[in-house]
Parts: sequence; C-alpha cells; structure tokens
Amino acid sequence: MKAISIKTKVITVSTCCLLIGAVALVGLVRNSYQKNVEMVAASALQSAQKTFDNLKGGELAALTLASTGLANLQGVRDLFVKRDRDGLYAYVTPMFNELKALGAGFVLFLEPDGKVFLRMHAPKNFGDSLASSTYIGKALRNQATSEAVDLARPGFVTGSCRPFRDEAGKLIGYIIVSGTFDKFLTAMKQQTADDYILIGHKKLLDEKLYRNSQKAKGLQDTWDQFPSVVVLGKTIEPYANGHYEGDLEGLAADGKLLGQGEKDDRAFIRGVFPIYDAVGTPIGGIFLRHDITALYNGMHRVQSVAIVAIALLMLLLSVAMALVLNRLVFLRLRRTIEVATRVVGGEFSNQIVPTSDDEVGRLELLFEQFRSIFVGVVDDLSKLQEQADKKSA
Amino acid sequence: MGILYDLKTKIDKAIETKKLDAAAVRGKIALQAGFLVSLIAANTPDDPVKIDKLRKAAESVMQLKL
Repeated sequence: MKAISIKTKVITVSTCCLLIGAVALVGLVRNSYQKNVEMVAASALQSAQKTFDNLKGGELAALTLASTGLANLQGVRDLFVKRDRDGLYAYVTPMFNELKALGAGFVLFLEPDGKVFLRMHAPKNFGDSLASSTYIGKALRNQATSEAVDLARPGFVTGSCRPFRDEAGKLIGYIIVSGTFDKFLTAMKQQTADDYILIGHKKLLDEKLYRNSQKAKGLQDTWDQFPSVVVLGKTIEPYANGHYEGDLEGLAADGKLLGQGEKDDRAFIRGVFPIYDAVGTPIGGIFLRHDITALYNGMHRVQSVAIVAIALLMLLLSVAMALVLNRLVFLRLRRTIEVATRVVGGEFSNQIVPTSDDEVGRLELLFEQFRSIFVGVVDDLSKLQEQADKKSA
Repeated sequence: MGILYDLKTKIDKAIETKKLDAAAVRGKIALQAGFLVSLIAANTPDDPVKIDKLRKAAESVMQLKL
C-alpha cells in the first residue's frame, strides 16, 4: 500500500473542513434568502390587500357621495315622486354622463320594494327586482345606505345604494350609483408595481351577460378558460395551470402565499386574497404576482461570491499550510534523516543541530544524543578490533 | 579475505566509479542491511545472512548486482 504523506493528509482534512464550511455557508445564504422571500411575500400580499381596501374605500365613498348628491336634488326628487320616468331620465342624463366619464357607469332608481324604476344606462329595461344583489338587499332590509363590492351578473362591480326619501322623510325608493372594477387592477399596479389577476366564481355570474359584456367592452371572452372560475380583470396573463379554483377554496381573510415561480428570467412570488360581498360571502379573489428578481439575483451573487471566496481561501490555506509544514517539520525531518544516514554510512563527524525547542527540535536533540552514543560505541569497537589485530600479529 | 569484505570492496569501487555520495550511499545500504558496512574489515568472518542482506541492499540502493 502506498504511504500517504502527512502533508497530503493535513491538506485533505483542511480542504474537507472548508468544503463542509462552504456547503454550510451556501445553505445559510439560501435559508436567509428563503426567509427574506417569505417576509417580502407577506409584505407584498399585505400591501396589495391594503391598496385594494383603500381604493375600494375611496371608490365606494365617491359613489355614496354621488348618490347623496342626486338624492338631494329637488328636481330629481320631484320627478321621482311623480314617477315621471322620461322626465327623470332627461333631467339626470347630463349628470349621468359626467359620472360615467368618472367611472360610475350605472345609475339606477328603485321602487321601495327593490324593483327597477329607471336604469340610466338602459332606460327601456325596468320592472325587474335587484333585491338579490347583496348590497342592494342589505339597503332594502335596513332602509339605510349600503355600499360594497359585488359580483353582479356580468362581473365585479362597486356600488352604493341609498334610501331616497321625500321632504317628510317617507321612503320613496332607492338610488344606486355603481361602477365596474375595470380600472381597479391598473390603479393597484400603478401603486404597488405588482401584477394582479381578478378571479370570480362562475356560479355567481350569468354566462350570457358576461359574454355580452366582454364583447361590448372589446375584451377577450375567457369563460371557458377554467372550469368553475373566470378571469374578470388582469394586468398579466393567467397561468394555464394556475390552480386558481383550489387556491380560492377556504381562503382565509388575510389571504395566503402561493410560493415562488420563474418565468422569462424573472423570479416571482405569488399570493391571493379574497374579496367579499356586502354580507361577507367570498365572491372571488385577487391573485398577486410580485417580482423578486433583484432579491433572487442578489442571493445568487452572494452565493457565487461565497463559493469563489471559499475556493480562494482553500487554495491560500493549502499553500500556507504546505509552506508552514515544510518549514517547521518536513525540511527538519529530512535533514535529520540525511545526517543519520550519513553517520551510519561512516561520516561520524556529521552533527544534528537542534534548530528550535519545539517537538521536532526535541526529536533532533534526541537523534544527536543517540548519534554521540553510536559514534562512541563504534570508536570503542574499532579500538578493540585494533588491539585484537595487534595481538594476533 | 572473506566474501563479506569482497562485497564491501565492490560496493566501494562502484561508488567511486559512479561518483556517488559515499557517506549517503553507504548509510542507506547499512540501514537496509541492518549492520554497519564501514566496520567490515578483511578479517571479518563471513556470515551467510549478512552476505545475503548486503547483496539485497546494494541492489536496492545502487542497482548493483553482486
């Protein structure tokens, strides 16, 4: 078996230790990255939900303000009390057009029982009941203003429904001002720089109305894209296998994180939070995609630097250890072996001079003492042999 | 003059011919053979074991076949 030198063994052991250290360091970097990602993801989800709540709050406040404004107009009240549909339509049209330009595309007047008296966007359609809509139903039940997000038949809407009373305070009907979600996701993207997909449950929608609405808006009809949910707004294309139905099931109020993903050299984290209607029933959710490419690249940079640094350290340490071992141990051992060999070869005057008081120095001293004894014995033997030769001569 | 002394003489001659470091080579042979080659004199009695060891050591250290 070929002997392995101490130098090789020491360098191998130190290299192994450094390699283990490198693996542990890379593990630590990855662990720290994972924790950072979780923190960033939770913060992004929270921020998205807060942004949504703020936008929703602002939108609903504006709608309520608009409905209050309409309700306080004497002309509107007089025409509604008279049930003059055409007169009311003509009177409200200029205000309706202004509201439409601001995103509140629906103004409706309801009878006290919830039946439509006038739809400003479709004046010929009236008489149907809207009491099934959660926020309208809530307003009817409580005879008080109710505003909320709702999944109406064609899609998501924000709406405010307020009681309409005559001068004596008697309930004469309700006024609804509502808008769509169309600009919500764009506004959220502008505020957070994240991407969003708004998804609602199909069971709460009317397929025909949805298809007609998408067509009228010039938007893609994606009714058949997923089995039980439908994309109602987006700033990015949804994943074909996004498991959106599963993610919406049993979703907690503060949402949940959906892990990490990569696409087109970009790294992302995903999350979803639910949207509730006026009575707290989940009607869909907003899926979030937050870009963490900078964090991801940073982690890889740190990891690469750590690996290169450890490789350099390994090289430096190996060279340093080899030099130190050579100087402190191996050269001195070689010198001792050389002297011992030469002494045995007959060059008795060769001496081993201890160069230090360390372990090798003590070995050198021992060899030198041994050499002195050995040379003395050989000298004595030579003398005895000479005497014997003289006697025999 | 015995075989052992003869072998020692041949080793010395080979060292001289090849211009080797005499002390170092003799030392290595002595360490391998297990006795001091420099103490072999003309009247040193032959010992078959020592003769064999010396031959092997010379071959191993100097590639010298004796």
